[in-house]
Amino acid sequence: MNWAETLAWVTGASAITLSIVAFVVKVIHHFVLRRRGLRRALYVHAVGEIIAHGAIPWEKVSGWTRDPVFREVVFEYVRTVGGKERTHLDGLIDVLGLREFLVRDTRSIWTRKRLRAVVQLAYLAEPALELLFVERLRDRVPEVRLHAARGLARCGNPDVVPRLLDMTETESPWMVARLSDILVAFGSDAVPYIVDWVHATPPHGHRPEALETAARTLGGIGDRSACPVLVELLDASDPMVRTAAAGALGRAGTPDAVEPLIDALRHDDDWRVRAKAASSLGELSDPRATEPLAEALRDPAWRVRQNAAAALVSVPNGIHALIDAVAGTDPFARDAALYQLGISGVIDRARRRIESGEDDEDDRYLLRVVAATQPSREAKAS
Amino acid sequence: MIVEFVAVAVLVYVIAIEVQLLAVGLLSLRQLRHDRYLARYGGLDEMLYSDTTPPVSIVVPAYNEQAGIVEAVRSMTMLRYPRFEVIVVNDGSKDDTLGVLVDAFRLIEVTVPYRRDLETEPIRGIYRSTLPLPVTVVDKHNGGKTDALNAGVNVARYPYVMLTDADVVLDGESLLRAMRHVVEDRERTVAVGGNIRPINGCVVNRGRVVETHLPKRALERVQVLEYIRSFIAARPGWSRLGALVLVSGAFGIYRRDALAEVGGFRRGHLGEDLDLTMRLHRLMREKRRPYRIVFAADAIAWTEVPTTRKVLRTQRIRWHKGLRMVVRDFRDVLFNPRYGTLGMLGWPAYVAFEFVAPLVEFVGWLVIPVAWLTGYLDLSIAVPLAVAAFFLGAINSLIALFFDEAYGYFTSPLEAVRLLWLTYLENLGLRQQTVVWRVLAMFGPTASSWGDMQRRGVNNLAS
Repeated sequence: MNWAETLAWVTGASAITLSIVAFVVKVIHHFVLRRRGLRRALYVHAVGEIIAHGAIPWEKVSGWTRDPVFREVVFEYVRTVGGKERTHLDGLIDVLGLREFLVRDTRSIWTRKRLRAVVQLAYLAEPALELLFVERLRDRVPEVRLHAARGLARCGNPDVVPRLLDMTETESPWMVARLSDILVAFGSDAVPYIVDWVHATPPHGHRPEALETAARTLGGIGDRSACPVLVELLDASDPMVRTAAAGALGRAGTPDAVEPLIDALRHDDDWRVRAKAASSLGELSDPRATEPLAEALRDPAWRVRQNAAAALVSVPNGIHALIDAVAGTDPFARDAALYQLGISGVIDRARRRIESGEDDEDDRYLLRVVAATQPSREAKAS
Repeated sequence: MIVEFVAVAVLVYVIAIEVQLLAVGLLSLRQLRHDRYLARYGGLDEMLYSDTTPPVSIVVPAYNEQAGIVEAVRSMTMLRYPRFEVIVVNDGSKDDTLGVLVDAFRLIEVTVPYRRDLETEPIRGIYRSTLPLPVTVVDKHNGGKTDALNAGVNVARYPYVMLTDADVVLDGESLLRAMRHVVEDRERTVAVGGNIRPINGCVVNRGRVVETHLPKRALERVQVLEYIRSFIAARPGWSRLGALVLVSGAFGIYRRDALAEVGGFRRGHLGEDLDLTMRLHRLMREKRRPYRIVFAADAIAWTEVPTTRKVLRTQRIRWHKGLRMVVRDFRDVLFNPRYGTLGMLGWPAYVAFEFVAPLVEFVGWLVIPVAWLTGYLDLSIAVPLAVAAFFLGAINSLIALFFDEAYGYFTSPLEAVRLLWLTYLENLGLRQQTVVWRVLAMFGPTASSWGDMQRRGVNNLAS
């Protein structure tokens, strides 16, 4: 047999073996999925009956504990039921020793086992599990750490907030984003802890991503007691921290935040900070912001102009500033103002009022200045 | 002597292809496992309620899509994603595409200045839905698909744009899964490609694929296999290496500022998606910015593949002509260390095994009869080599099928047998036919149009 024949035999045998293996795998997978589906249906029905009636047919369910599908079903019910049904479900979990079983699994050397256990225990949200979750925050697998943090958030003890914020100093952007959501779940109780954490500067300073997360979390919570610290963060050296702080002040800001935001809108070097400051001023709807926002329509960055125009819709006399900008000579300001008047429906409402004869001088003036910028369009409309 | 040289060259070439497929396949396997793990345990659902999830503008070009556009847009508005808008660009359709959209979504014309970051044909009007749906329609003069996409990018409000086709059916979580890669590394991610699967044979209900089956015709089934090979066994691996060459036009997410900076799609290009991806690579490398272009295997979009030989021929010739244009434009990237893994591995492999492969195979067929007629053909070598080539083709497909098992789309044993049978059958004529088309494309003229893909509509594909 020459080398070519050997090659043909080897490839042929490999292909046929692979085909047989592929077929067997397909068939096994097919039946595994079917069996899994059937088991799942059985468990959903049985657990549903148990939590409805409170009676546990021990001889039936005792053997199910080790089946991950059964545990999945039980914890799906944990997520969805409450009241008397939840009491029955807790009874089932106690009787079967599911909690102890999962706690044991959290120390398994197998990542999946550990992860599944932490995911399911996190749904129980029991204060007794807090220590276990804190211990798992040091797990080498990021997803285990993430679900442990989620478990802690569900337990609702804000003492752990600084620990979670410390994690944002070292974790990946994805984990930091998820931790930010978890921190928001603590609500207003977490605000003093976050404020203290921001002020307690570690030896090498906070990582900018961590401070950004803290600012974004304070914005997500929306508690106004966070306003002073967010104003402080507007002076941070990192532009992303300043951007996050400016954005957060839209939701967590008080009238005290208006002047610092105006200052950021006028003087910050980074367009992202100015853009966020413009949006936040719109959310705060303070009359002091009208003039600076009208000035920002001439900002060199289009996003700032766009956000300033959008904000002007929400501040007192803002629409007039927008119409003036459309009538003005600055092309940047005109575009941004026209865009916002268009997407907020102001132009179309004015046009409809004119068509129905319910118009006033402002409507006619608006359409005149718009027509001046888009003569062909208005000619078509008329 | 010459015949022997050609035979050895072809053999070395085949071995190189196999080594490449195996190496990239192993990387793909790792990536697929990682993606599945993250999808299950990574907290994907939390993106739905998170402030950190960036909003996305979905751009859908439409030309004479009156029959299916409403359902397509409706299914897009039902995507599981916190904040997005759907921008349909009616590219001067001759049918009533605009009319059906106006009626279905109660559109009104709005006065919105048009940001000309990218040059396009003139806009006739911009419409917004008065229903609580984030739908915008841009009506413009005809300028081709790339022009329509550029117009959509100009209108897009959000920092990320997803470019897709009107006949594409997206999985409910596809956008969420693709955007996970952006959240993972927002600074560096400039583009994310989705996983495209043929919808032929599947059952579609209310704009969602509810049952997956193999199509009935062999021609369509072969394309299922081709898509699995390309999207499951190759792209995740190249993505892991940082050398992803192509973000498919049917499902691609781009950072809007990067798209504007690179100049959007080039008008009239036949391989517009490949060209755009390569230009993004070039821009980022030349500006020395850290970046990544990634593939999201679990972000699935379903698309109709040609059902007749004639349409398939047109499509394949167009694709290969597009590839030819890109190879010509980016020849400087080949083995250029400045482009890192892309220049040294990804692009050379793509050129060698996608662009040149049909020519090598074709030359091989020509050499065999010549060698036989001139008495140079050693049958004791040639026949076993042909047999080995046949089985190697099947092995590549079988490996891809193993990887695809993770998705569990074709679970019925009967469909498994059909797919396995196809791994052999496609090497007995169907593949060779594609090779001929692609060789024709290498030497024919390049001209552009939307093409004349005849569609049966996504609701009629199960038959």
